[in-house]
Amino acid sequence: MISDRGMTRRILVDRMGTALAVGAVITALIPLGAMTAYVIAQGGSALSLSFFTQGPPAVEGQAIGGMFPMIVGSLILIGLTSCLGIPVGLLSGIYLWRYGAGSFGQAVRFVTDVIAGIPSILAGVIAFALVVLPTGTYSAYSAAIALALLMFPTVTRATETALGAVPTELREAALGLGATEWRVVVRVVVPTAASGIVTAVVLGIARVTGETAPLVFTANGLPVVSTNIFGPMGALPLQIWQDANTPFATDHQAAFAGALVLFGIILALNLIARILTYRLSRRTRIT
Amino acid sequence: MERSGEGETRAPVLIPQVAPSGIDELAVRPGVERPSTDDGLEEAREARRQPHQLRASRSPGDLVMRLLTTGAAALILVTSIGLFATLAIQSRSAIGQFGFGFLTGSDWNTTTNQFAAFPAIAGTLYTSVLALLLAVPVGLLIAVYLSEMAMAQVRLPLGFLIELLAAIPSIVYGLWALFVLVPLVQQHVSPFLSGRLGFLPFFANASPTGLGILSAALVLSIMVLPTITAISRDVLIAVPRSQREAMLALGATRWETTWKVVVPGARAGIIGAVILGLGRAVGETMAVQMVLGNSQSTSWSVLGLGTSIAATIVNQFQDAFGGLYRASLLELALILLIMAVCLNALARLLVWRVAGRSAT
Amino acid sequence: MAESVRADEVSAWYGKKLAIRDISVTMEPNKVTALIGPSGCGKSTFLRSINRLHEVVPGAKVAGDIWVGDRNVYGKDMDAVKVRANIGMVFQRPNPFPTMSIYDNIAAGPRLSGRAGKRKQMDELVEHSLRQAALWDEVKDRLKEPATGLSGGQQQRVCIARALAMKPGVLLLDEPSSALDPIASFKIEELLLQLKNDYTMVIVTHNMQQAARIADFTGFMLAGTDYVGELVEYGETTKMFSNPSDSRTEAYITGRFG
Repeated sequence: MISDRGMTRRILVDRMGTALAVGAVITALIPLGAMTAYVIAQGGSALSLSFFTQGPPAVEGQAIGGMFPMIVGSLILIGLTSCLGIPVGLLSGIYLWRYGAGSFGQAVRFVTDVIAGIPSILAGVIAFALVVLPTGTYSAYSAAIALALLMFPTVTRATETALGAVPTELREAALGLGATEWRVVVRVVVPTAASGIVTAVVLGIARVTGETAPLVFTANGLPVVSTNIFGPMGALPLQIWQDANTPFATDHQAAFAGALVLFGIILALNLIARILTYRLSRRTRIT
Repeated sequence: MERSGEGETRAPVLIPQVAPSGIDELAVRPGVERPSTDDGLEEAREARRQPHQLRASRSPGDLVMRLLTTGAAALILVTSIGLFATLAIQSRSAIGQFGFGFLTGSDWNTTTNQFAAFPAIAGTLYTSVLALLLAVPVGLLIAVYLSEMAMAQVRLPLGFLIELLAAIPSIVYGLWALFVLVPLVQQHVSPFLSGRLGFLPFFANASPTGLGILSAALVLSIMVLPTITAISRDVLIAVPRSQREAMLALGATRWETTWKVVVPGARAGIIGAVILGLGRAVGETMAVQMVLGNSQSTSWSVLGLGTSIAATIVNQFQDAFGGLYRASLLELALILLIMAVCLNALARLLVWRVAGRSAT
Repeated sequence: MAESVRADEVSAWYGKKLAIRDISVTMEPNKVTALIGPSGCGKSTFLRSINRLHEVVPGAKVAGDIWVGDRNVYGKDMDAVKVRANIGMVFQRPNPFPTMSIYDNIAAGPRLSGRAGKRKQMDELVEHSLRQAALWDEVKDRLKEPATGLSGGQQQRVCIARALAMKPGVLLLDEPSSALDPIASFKIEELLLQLKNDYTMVIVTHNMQQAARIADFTGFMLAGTDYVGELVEYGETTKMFSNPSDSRTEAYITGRFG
């Protein structure tokens, strides 16, 4: 029988340890709460309808202005990036799942994981070296290339995993009906795996929406609305950064307003990803 | 297809002459030789014993699918080679000019065209390691809480909140850090530390602005926390339940079980999580750039200004004219790439060993 | 129209490992043929050789010929995909496509093999197939609902209807009721007895009583010490169960092993 004194001490340590762990949780949640509260407070006070309709003020420091051109620019960039990142991610994921057992497949897997880990600034630098330098101009599509580089690895991995999770018997049932391979993949396997794939895509978009560093080297920013993807373009995170770096208080307020909008968009996308996961996986739940 | 009426359906089908029909003859006993009428039949039988060379059915759609998917995979491979190659090639003038001294020298002078990376490298490593010193204990404790202590209802929301921390973009962190954290450091933390502990080299030469290594390390630690927490939690959960139960059955407390059995069992994965966090920290750009002060100086003081690789690149890229300047910045990028890739590869190796491929 | 199935010295490999050897048997049209035997004796492997599903496994090989009707499915110019479109298969665990409604599941066969006609024709086909599978009355008001919302027995009948929608000459069933409760299982057996009026059925089952109940002919397969499956005896079910010719058959049927 362990002595009572020893046992008491050990129980005390256990309690204190638990308290410590809970303390750690609170410590982590404090900055989250503080940040959220601060951005909402500062951003909210600077936010107005004109923020979504106007561009930056003509004269620095006079007014908060708006970020409408940057919001448009961000949307265009996300669209372009998705056009590049989603097909590459989806197709390479299918490749790895179906044909990827050999050494070529292993190499592609390894490389995808490597690219998944590169800092976002480097994606921008590489797009700069590959596209901006030779073409001599900043451009939206070079930014899309950089962002697609950041986006596709999660889609590739999620696609391969999700396809692998589809039970073999579904594939066999489709083959047994006399379907060709590609029809089995496109009409049965991929739809059944949709939940995992769509979640990864939405999360990938959420991540890419907030990236700033790659845009510094590629899109460079523009104060007005532009649909020319071959030229520079403004974007929300870029503008926030530029506004934060000026000495003008109004620009700082604009930065916070922009940060609030950005935060809201990313939060919404994350929630959408969660909801989609839930609803799509219910649809394909195999009883 | 219509249901035929009651009764007989036509017995269909032509059965080729060679084969016997009727049921009794088909009750083949293994090992019993089938009566053969001549040798030709025997040869034909032998030929039939060989497995068919079956041509896999390849409809045009199958070929297209194979082409497209292989193309995408090949594109990835080509891109990765291009990544390294581009940086290496574009920075070759700087590599040639400065050689190894690039890594050790401290002179970053745009007017004399002398560039050396040590301040940036040192600053990157210093801020990152400091950030980890703060984030790892907290992150590990949270992971322990999530895997060992939290009740089911708490786990999901808490996990979601931690993921939210991860989802906040760097720029928003930077903004908050610049306008809240830096003044805090400037007005309270820095004077306190330099006042009481200023004799230590870590707290000497405080910058009056509040910018600097400490602020950067603080914001970096918050940014890196979700990574460490999430992966540590996954590897902790992967430790088999039976081990915990064995320990508890001996009369251990939950705290003791955690630290004597669970955490050691997941040790490789936790180290992997830490290294992964380090990998993320060295690559962080925006938040760090905004609060580090961007001074090419090296000192042990956490209250002083500094720079990092990423901050240097993002700061000076747009002003960089001239081949050597730009090439030096690209060489910095190459160094960062190698750092990040090595750290990530090492981390993944460790984590996969413990928790399987889907953990990261 | 129901077709006969004639296997001529069929052997099958998984990679280098021989699974079944020299199986020769003729299965009559409009009859139910059961394949029984202990697990691992290669019954399913043989079944899958008939509709060339076996070769989908990487490294799998088949020797010998199988004639369905008057065509050799392993003939030089036979396309495996077309072979499978003309042979129906029902699997052990009900596997309706989870992303599709009941209607879409039945229509999946024609659509996947590129045979889908107009809407009205498809409606008729779906109804006809569901009637054949004795499911129409139960689901006619919820055709658009997901198939996974049905009970196990109903799902299996959806799978049967799905196979029948392709109008096959032969229906292959791999232990179709082993995953179902006894009542659902009984309903499936009733259904199979009805279906043999229009189709040839080959059913793999590990349930001897089921074979005795519904099969006209039965084949007994056994794997020897070399783990290679062979056809030991084949004949009319009543004869097999009352007076088997081979001692091994008798041993299995009387329960001395299995």
